[in-house]
Amino acid sequence: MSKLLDIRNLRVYYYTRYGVVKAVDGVSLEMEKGENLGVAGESGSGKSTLALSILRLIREPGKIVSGKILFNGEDLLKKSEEEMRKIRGARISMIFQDPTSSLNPVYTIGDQIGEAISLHQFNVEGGLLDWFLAKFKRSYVREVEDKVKEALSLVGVSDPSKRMKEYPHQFSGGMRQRAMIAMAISCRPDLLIADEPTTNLDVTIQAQILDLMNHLQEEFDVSIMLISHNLGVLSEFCHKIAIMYAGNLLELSDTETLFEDPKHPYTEALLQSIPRFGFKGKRLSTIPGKPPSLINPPLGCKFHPRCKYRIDGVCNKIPPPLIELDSGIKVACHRYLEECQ
Amino acid sequence: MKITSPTASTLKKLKENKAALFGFAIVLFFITLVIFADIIAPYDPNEVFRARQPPSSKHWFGTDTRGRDVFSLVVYGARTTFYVGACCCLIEFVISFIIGGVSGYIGGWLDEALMRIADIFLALPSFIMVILAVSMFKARSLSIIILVMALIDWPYMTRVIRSQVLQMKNAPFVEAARAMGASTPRILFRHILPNIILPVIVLSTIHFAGYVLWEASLSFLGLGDPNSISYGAIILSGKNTLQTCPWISFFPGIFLFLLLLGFQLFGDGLRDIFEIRV
Amino acid sequence: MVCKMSGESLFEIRNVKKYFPIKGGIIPKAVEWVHAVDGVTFDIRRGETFGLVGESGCGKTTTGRLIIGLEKPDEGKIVFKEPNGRTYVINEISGRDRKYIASKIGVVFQDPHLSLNPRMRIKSIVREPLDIHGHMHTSKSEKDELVLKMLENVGLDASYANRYPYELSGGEKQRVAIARALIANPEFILADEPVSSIDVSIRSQILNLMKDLISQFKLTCLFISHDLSVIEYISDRIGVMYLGKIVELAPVEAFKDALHPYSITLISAVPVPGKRSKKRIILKGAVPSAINPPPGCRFHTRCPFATPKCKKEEPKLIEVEKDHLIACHLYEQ
Repeated sequence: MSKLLDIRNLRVYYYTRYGVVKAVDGVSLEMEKGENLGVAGESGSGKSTLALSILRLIREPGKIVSGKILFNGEDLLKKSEEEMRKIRGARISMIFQDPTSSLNPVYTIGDQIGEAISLHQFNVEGGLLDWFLAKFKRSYVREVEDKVKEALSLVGVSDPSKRMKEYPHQFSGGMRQRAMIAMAISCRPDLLIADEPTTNLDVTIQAQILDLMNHLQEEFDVSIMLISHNLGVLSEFCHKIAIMYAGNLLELSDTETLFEDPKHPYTEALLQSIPRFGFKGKRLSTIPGKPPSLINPPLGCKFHPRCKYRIDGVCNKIPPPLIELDSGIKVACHRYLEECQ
Repeated sequence: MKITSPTASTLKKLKENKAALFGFAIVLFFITLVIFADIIAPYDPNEVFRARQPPSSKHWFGTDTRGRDVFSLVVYGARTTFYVGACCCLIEFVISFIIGGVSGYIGGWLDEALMRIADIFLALPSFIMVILAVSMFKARSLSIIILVMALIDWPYMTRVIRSQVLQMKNAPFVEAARAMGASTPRILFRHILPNIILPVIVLSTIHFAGYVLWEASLSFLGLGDPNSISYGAIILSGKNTLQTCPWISFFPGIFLFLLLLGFQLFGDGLRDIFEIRV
Repeated sequence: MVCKMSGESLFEIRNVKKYFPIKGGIIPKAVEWVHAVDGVTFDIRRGETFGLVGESGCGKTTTGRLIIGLEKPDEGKIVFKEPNGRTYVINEISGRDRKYIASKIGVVFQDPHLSLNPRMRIKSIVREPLDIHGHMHTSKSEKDELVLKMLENVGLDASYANRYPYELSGGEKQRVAIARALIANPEFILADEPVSSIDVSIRSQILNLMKDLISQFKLTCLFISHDLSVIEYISDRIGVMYLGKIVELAPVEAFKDALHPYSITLISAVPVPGKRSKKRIILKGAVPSAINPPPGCRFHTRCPFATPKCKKEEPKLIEVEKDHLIACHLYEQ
């Protein structure tokens, strides 16, 4: 069984006037079909760049420098723009952090979801003839409308026939995110990438959206790549979690083990520094220092200046390779290299 | 690790914008004329030689109907022009900052009243107003012309400053200053002004060109200061002899054109570089 | 039933209301009003850290701004009480009194990138409260020394003094904001979502710093956040707001056993690292509009335990246990 997603040694750099920003610096990841992967990291870790790279949405001054992105065995980086357009929205979908800016304010929700459906399910290329079809051929219009209504009710929007005629500004934040999900799911993709989908939402609405995504995933067998800086959100339904830092993958582990027995010092330190509800009284431990520059990153392991386990002479000189432990957990840390030896 | 300051990245952008560089070069050229007029000009501009001489090695731009060396006139004319432009811009800025700042920051009925008054000025054709106002004076001096122009033109800059102040008013660092008890003048001068100065400078550059053109037009219409050397006046003096002595009007005309072009290009370039939506 | 407050209070907030107009029509006239804060009453006790928590639109930020005088309430009173008994009504004072109160209050805002004047050096930013409040007996060099000491207090060495904000990271800027808030020796700090815009790995640094400084300088603090875990970590007492009203007020120890249905929902909605899809209460629908709040109890439209009484009558904030107040019909004796 070929893997759903197999990223090999991906490098994505941004060539800015200040220098070369190594946003993604040699990341290898895998995702099986039916599995949910969480990608955790702070701002600057490269997780959003990673997501955009999969869909080949990186624009100047960014460039995918090297690596492979295999989707069901095919290398996406070798495909033409034409082929990518058939994949985007149909086989791989993406939803973003801020639904407000991802939705066009001058078109109704129904129009926007309908567009996605038209493009992919009916192979409407978007030319003039097809525009006519979309506007005037009654049977076609009705079919699209039905599918839009179906999509909206799937995501829990009540009264879909009325609401599809509304504009984005008439929807609340949570509703807009539901509309985005409807658009993304409408063509039953194999892979859904969600980049911080609930970060801008209130906690109670976030719970609703996560619940919805869980439900949709079960029903349509979509694999979800969820990107977030909130480890709690990721542990909701991710089977595996990848920890990214300054463009590198530090740890890839199943969710339970990640929290009970984190391998990488960064993961460990991070988990200890997050306030947890119900644990009043315990002083939070802190990670000294601050996230590194991506233009002039530290030599060797990028986390070493802040790491309490660092081995001088090793960690500050040699970048640790990603090794697989017996348990199947992958970690990039010299401590484990030594153990392996 | 070097963090590039905003200034350094701005200079880099300036270097890449060819039009702005060209405009800047012209502006520098004129500034040189202004500063070094005494050295550059071969003769005193009021000194009289043989009249209506065509350009020659002695008189590079020839002489005018009165016998003055046109080249020296043009060089010294730059001084007058800059003086007028700079004074007008300065007065305009002071008035605009006070009115626009107070109006924008305090708001309320005062803001409404001031903006309605500004609207009245804006509705009337400004240059016609300037002509009317200036022609009411019997004795005309440069100072009167400067004052009239700045006082009629204030609404434009005032509006810009007011809108900038409105934006800044709610910026978190301004709120922080208010929360710590800063007085309104302190907020306006210490917090708001330094942060709105960029669009103001850009607009001033373009206004400068406008004032120069107005002054030259006034002089050309005969409404200028008779005692000052103005490009408009020189062009006027050559009007009747355009066929026989074209150089009298031509050279000041070219210089005027260059000056305006330079400031416009530079101002536009600055606007692009700082990405100012004004 | 009037709620009994114990302990000496620094701020007394009484039935404060703030409505924001929505203008419409050709002649701009207020057509509708947003009930941002709709009758809020509580005390902030001297020396405590009071956490105000709620989701977007609940009015917590507006409440904070009303308390320190950045906005004027439409109804109600906010009283600042000094230990010697003198009181100041925040929404009525002006002039010298206003300035005096400003010297007693420090503010830390949410976005560190926007709360520092980009054209001022760090040392000028931190020194400004000293400049404003006279401190006639302090010379310039003494002021500068105070600035350096305060920077040290927040973990920034002297080299930061001459830098500009653009040279600092988010966490460092927030430290500067904290230094600025503390330098004039205030008694009260308003912290409005101070760590929400900070990277996760730095958050604990800033939280611990604030905790230490609050105890070191014996400050009273109103800490506003939507993040329940952060609020629990730093607060002594917690107030939960929903649609412009306080629905529950409890000491932090009692909070994990919160009683109000909304508080319980909030708590259950917090994702816990390591637990997959734990059981939780999912609310129906979105927060109702603050322009036309629902009649009766505002939460009744989404409350899983709503009774017919809840739709008609608004519950009052009553004390059910020691120091634990709640506004819910289910708990009325």
